[in-house]
Amino acid sequence: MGISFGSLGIPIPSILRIFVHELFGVQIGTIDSIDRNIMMNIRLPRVILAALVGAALALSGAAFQGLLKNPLADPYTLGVSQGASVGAVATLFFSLQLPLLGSFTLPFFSMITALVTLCLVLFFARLVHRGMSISSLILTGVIFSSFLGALISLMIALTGDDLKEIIHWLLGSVSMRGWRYIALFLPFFLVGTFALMLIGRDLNVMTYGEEKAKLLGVHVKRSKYIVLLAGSILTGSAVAVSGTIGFVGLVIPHFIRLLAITDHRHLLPLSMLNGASFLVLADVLSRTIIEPTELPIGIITALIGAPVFGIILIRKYRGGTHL
Amino acid sequence: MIQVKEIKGGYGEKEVIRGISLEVKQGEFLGILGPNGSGKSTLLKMISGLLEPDSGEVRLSGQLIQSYRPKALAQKMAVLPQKTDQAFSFTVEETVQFGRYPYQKGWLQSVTQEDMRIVNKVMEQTDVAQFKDQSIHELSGGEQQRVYLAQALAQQPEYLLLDEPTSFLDLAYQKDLLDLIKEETTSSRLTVIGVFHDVNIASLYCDRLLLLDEGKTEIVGLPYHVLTPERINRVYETDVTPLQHPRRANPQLTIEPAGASVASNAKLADGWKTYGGEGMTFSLKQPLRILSSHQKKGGFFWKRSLGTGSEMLRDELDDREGLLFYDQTSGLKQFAAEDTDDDMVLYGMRHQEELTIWLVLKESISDGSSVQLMGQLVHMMKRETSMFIHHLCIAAAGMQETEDDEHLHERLKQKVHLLLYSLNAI
Repeated sequence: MGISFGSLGIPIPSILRIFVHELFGVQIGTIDSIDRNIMMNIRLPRVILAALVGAALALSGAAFQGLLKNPLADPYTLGVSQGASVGAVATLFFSLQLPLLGSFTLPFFSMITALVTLCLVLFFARLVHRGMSISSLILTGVIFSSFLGALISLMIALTGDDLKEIIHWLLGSVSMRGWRYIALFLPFFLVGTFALMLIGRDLNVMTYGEEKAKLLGVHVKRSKYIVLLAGSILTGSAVAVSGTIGFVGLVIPHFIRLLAITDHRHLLPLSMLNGASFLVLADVLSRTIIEPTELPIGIITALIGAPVFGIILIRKYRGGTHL
Repeated sequence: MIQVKEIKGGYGEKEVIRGISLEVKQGEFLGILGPNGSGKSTLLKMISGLLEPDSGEVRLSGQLIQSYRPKALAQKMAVLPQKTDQAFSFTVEETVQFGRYPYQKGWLQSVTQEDMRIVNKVMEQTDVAQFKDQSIHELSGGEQQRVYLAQALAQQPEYLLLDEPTSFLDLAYQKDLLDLIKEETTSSRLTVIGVFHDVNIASLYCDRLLLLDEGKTEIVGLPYHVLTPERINRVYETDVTPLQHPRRANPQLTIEPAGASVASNAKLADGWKTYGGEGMTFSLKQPLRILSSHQKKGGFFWKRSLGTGSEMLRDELDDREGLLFYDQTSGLKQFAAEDTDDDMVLYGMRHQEELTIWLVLKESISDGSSVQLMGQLVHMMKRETSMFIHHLCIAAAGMQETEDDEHLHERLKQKVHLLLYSLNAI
């Protein structure tokens, strides 16, 4: 469906024919070469990227909420996404273009600043409290976020004409990225996902807080670093390729929890799947709702996500259940 | 066995624990007591390995606690805190399952049949199996605490540490939880160290007590040895009075509130009422310290009213608070009162060949004097009559200070004689 809709519709049978052709080299019926081009080079990568980004954000959101014992945490809590944004906005602001990377400069820079931010946040949190307690982490993350947010605002304020480009990027989009972005994102995605999937059991126990987790036999420090690193890698790289897309990481895990699935061994994979489908759908809406103009996908996720979540929350609380 | 040798330490610069040594044998229940800020919880943290002492060592089964890997330690030792917070709604079964974490290996993160068997067993044991699929947040505090005990037991520990585990529980839950834990110390030879703020609870359940004072051991020993009023007064800096548990030898202590109890100026003679063939009652708007000689239900009591007679009368009086009532069959009864004096009145009831005598005093008398008085009363009656005694009661209203009354014995003797005469018992 994500492939079919768009300013130029491609009927579903054609899509299937193209798929079969590309995968098995078997030609069934006639294939419109324009359709084929649009699908393989624009639509398909776009849908895949949306799915991957959605999965990454929802997964890291679920993991951070578990680790930080805080249902309000999201992938952006630690400030990594702001770090990625600073890199991206700086690239746009200074119109940087590295010779070898070309249009790749932006995600590349963004990724680097995300990683640097992560290291700084961890370093500062350790300075605040040697054991790197959860509260010192959240505080450091929030402080970094506002600082970096201010940097971004500064650059926006100093920008004269290209304002729209920066704002559009900040609001997030998965359009016109192509296969190369996927190739850039995929390794980070795989590493992060793999690490988090293995740690579901530890995360369950970590929701009791570090002391209790330690008493139950969790190697708290190790597990904490794994979640922080993997989650930040996922978030940082997702922001680098698609901009800051809000709401997915906060709401999708809650959505799953409201379905009475709290065990992280199930919560994490389910969040991934739902995050992926949610973002693909949001992307479809973003480009079809006022054709041919495309809306930034971040607007769609918040516009749909917030009210829907609100309704579910009210219903659930009326039923007397906790988060 | 848990061995603690000369540990010292605390948080940062502040030394909370200032040299403590102790040894707890397998199957033993040790209670840690001490006033707020004496270092109870800190000591427990050091024993559980959460806080490393600055000097000294803690050994579990002979091995240094720091030498255990986290999972190996969690297989040996579990901790039950006073309250466990959880932001997410795990089910009861999931919660208990987390106790199996230290036994789970590999990347598949699956729960084995052995895990399930133990989880089911401990849920039965702690009586939480009925809530299995409910969210932990739907349970009351007492039920939640049982779930977390189940979680701790699912770790199959040799050592269980308790940090004021009953603070937020009401009486029945306190008893249930501690009975369960106590049972484990005998059935599975579980070794328990518990911090308690309630000295009486600790006295009832612990084999030995450790009393802390400002980070140092005041004394370790058997409850009767540790819980002397003088020691508790000194360490807790308050006045406590010893109490007797009616069926256990374990020492119990209580405090007395600062405000004086309110004395009424009711007249003793107004308290008595008779109910024809059914019986009689005595009550004042004032608690009475009563000594009763009733064979089955006698002893010392604080009660507001006293009654004896038929079941019908008892049912009628049933809603009266603080009533001490002794059953007698209904039927023809004779009553008599010697209430001319304001400070000492005597009431009697004769039912067939049995006598019931109540002596009410205005002053407060010590329990010892009460026993002596009871002896004298019995002696006086035996000399005058050969009738059976159903029961005797001495009730002190405590409305005035004890007076040294030289004539008390003579006055009482005279009154008893007159009363028995009125009852045709002589």
